[in-house]
Parts: sequence; C-alpha cells; structure tokens
Amino acid sequence: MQDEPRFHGWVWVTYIFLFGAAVPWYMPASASRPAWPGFPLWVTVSLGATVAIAFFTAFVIHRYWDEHER
Amino acid sequence: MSEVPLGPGGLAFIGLYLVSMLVIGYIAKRAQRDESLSDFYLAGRSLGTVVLLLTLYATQYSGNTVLGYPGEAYRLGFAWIMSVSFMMSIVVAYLPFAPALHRLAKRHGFVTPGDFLDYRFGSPALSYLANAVLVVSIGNYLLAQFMAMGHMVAGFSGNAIPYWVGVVVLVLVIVIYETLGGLRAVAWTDFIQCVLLFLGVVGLLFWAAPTPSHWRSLTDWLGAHDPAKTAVPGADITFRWLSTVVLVGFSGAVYPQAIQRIYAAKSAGALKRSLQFMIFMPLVTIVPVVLTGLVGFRRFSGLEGVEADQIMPMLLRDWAVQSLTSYALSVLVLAGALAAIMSTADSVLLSLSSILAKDFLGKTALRNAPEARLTHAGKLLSWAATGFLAWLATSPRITLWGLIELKFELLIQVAPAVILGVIWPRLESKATLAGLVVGTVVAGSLALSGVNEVSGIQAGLFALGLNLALSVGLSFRKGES
Repeated sequence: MQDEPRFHGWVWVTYIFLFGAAVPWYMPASASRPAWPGFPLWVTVSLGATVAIAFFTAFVIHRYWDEHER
Repeated sequence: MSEVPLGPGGLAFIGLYLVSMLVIGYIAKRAQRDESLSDFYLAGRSLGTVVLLLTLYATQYSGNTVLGYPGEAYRLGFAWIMSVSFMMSIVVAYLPFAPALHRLAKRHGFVTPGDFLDYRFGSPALSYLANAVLVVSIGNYLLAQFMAMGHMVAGFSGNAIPYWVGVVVLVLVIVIYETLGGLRAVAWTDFIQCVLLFLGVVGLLFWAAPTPSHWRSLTDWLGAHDPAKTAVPGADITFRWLSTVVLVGFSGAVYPQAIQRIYAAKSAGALKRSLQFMIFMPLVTIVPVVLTGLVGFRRFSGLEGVEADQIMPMLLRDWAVQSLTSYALSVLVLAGALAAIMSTADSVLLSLSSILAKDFLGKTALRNAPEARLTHAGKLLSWAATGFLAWLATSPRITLWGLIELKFELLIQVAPAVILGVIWPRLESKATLAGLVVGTVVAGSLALSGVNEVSGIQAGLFALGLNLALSVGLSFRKGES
C-alpha cells in the first residue's frame, strides 16, 4: 500500500495542536496590546501558528505522500 | 461621487483584460483534442504543477476574498484574521483523501464527483441526492460571484455603471470563454487572473499599510477608537473561529471544482507540489485583505451591515483620485478583484455544467448518448444556468458572507460520503444515504428558518454531526450483523 498522510496518527495530533494554537482561546485580555511587528499580541501569536501549519503541511506532503504508481 | 474615476486608461486596461480572456478561450478551443467529457471538463487530465497551482489559487480565492473579507474585517476587526486559518484548513482537509482519490480517478476515468460516488457506493439514490446538494450549493456560490461582480463595478464607478450592467457584461465574457475551451480555457485564463489577483493584493498591502510602523499605527488607532476591533476574541468569536475552521475546511475540500482539479492533475507529483505552495497562499493573500478592511474602517467609519461590503470599492475610489501612481495601482487592484471573481465563477460554472450534463442528463434523457453530445449539452446548460443566476443576482438582499455560509452548510453534508468514502472501506451506502438525507434536511430547514446556531454550534456543523453519527453508526451496525 502506498504511503499517505492519513496513515500517520501523530500528524493529525500535531494538526489539532497547531490549529488549537492558531485560535486565541488561551490568550489573556491584556494580549490586545500592540506587539512585534505592529499587530495586537494575540494576532501575532495566531499568525505564528498558521505559519507553523504551512511549513508542517509542506513537510507532511513531502515526507508521507508517496507519488509513485505501483 | 457620481463620476467614473476609472478614466479612459483604466477602462482600456480592463477592456484589454476582458478581450484577452476571450482570446484565450478561442486558443483553448483550438487546443481541444476531442469532444470527450474528460477533455472538455478536465483538460484531458493534463494539468502540471504550475497551471494546477494557479488554477487552485485563482479558484479558491474569490470575489468574496476581495470584497466580502474586507467588509467582514471592517465589521469584526482583527478577529477576521481567523480567515487565514480556515483557508489553510481546506488544504489540510485534502491530505487524508486526495492521494487515493487521484489514483482512483486516473484508474477509473472519473469526471465528476458523482462518478466517484457511483463507483464507491453504487447507489443511484445516494448519487442523485449528493449531486442535488452539490448543484444547489455551488449554484448559490456562483450567484454570490455574480453579485460580487455587480457590486465591484457599481461601487467603483460610483453607480455610473449600473450593478446589472456589471453582472451581464462580465457573465457574458465568462460563459463565452468557458463554453469555448472548457477547463483549458478556465485554467489558462486563471494564469492571467492569478497574476492580476496577486499583484492586486500586493498593491493593496502597498497602499493600505505597507510597513510595520503603519501596522502599529493602525493597531493604536483602532485600540483608541474602537477597542473591540483589537480585543482578544471572546468565547463567541473563538467558538465561531473553531467551527469555521472545520466547516470551511471540509466543505472547501469537497467543492466539485476542487475535486475535479484532483482528477485533472497530470500526476500525483504535480498535485503534491501545487498543494505545498497552496498552503502558504492564505498568508500572502488574506493578511493584506484584512488590513485593508481595517484601514477602511479608519477612513470610513460608520458603515452598517451590508454597507460594509462596499468598503473596497469606496477605498479604491478614494485612492484613485490621489495621484497618477495611486490611480494606476487602483486600476490594478480593481482588475485583480475582477479577476478573482471571474476565475472562481468560471470554475464553478464549469463544474455545475459537468454535474448537470453527466450526472443528471447523462443518466436520464441522454442515458446512452455519445460523450460529444453530453459535452454539447453541458455547454447549453452553462448558458441556461448562467442566465437564470444572472437574473437572480439582480436582487441582492443578504450580505455576501451570508450567502457563502449558506453554501458551506449544505456542501459539507457531502463530505462524509466523499472523504470517509475514500478512506474508510466499511462505510456502507445505505448508512451514508441516511446520514446525507438527515444532514441535508436539518441543515436546509435550519437555514430556511433563519436558525444559525444550535446550542452555540453552527447549524451546518450540527447537521454534519447527525450525518456522521448516522453514517458511521449504521455502517458499524450493518458490519456486525
């Protein structure tokens, strides 16, 4: 059977963690103050998590999607 | 403002863009190999990495991205940055099923999503219902694109060009090149549309808030004048954020036009590489659009409800009269916005026509007809559907985002049949049908009665929960018996 991302449970656990980090449910009200690079702190953290999702996805596709026909 | 600030130069640029679409449609027709459905609707399964990436990008980012999203950022503030994560969730939702679906499509010659359902479940009732849900959902989506065209033209021209003229002219251009060249025309025009959209978005960022010091000043201003726009989202928005990630991710991944791009990829490698780029596109596309909506709030405070959807045209009009450079850039952004709308509309129209022709006519009135006849019928259906939706588009009553949400809530009911159908061999056809019937009836009834949430859960997700519980639960039960 060809390798695919769906066969790797840790990938999906990581996605739950990363999407959970992108939603600022855990941020305190004080995180609305401006931070680097000019957005409210919670926005910077959320965008940081989405950047991580993007790189992680590129890695998962590269590593676990077997493209060779058998 | 009643004058048309577009001017002769801007009009010529837009005119040239529209003519180029028609020329590409003609060239695509010349490249046609035969009259088969797969040649017309899937470009002969020949899309390589670059064309696939551009067509995925141009199709996924629509009029709603350029018109609806700034309006939503205007209403909601920085919290609309949630759209970055939910647009990413579409690409992530591909990962469990796209590799296997691509292989199956190549092996069995699928053209429409219904072909997979027929192959996997062999249940005409399930296929008909799923196809009906898809047609209603993407018909709704197409209507939203047509409305966005009218808003864009009317808004930018200060209503000097009426809304309905915008709809009719642009819709005509689309249906002409789409019926000339099928997916080849759609994918090749996507190249130009994608370049324009991307330049437009970069232009937006350049204008709206190009540097971190501009972002800081915007954040400070919003914090001082309307602190809710910068505040950490409360429980209600957090919940909406999470549920939208699920709703958009799974429904976006089963758009018929998205599934057909999985079929149309030349190889698994091309599909892989295009998705590796696609996952980054929300960052470079949506952040500028959200910032633009917030800049719009600072420039034109006080717009309420549907009015906020006009914020992009208002900003472009405002910028266009400031200097020659800003005028040229505003024309570029306008062209990018039009390109975004048209590139989504053409793909949706093509999918709609393929489903109507192959999954409805091809199984009834034209059951044993040759493929060339079905392809021809599909072209005629494109014109009929376009005419009907353009007529509907002339009476906008709800916000653009409202229209899109309605689509997702129905569309996501097909996700278990497609995604679980690919990855879970035990999924049983009658169980899937029962889930789809209940999910669709509940989602449709809630939408029609104006109920958006059930116990804080978006109506479409609530219906999906019932749908999944039935599909999975009944499949297990059947397996045991």
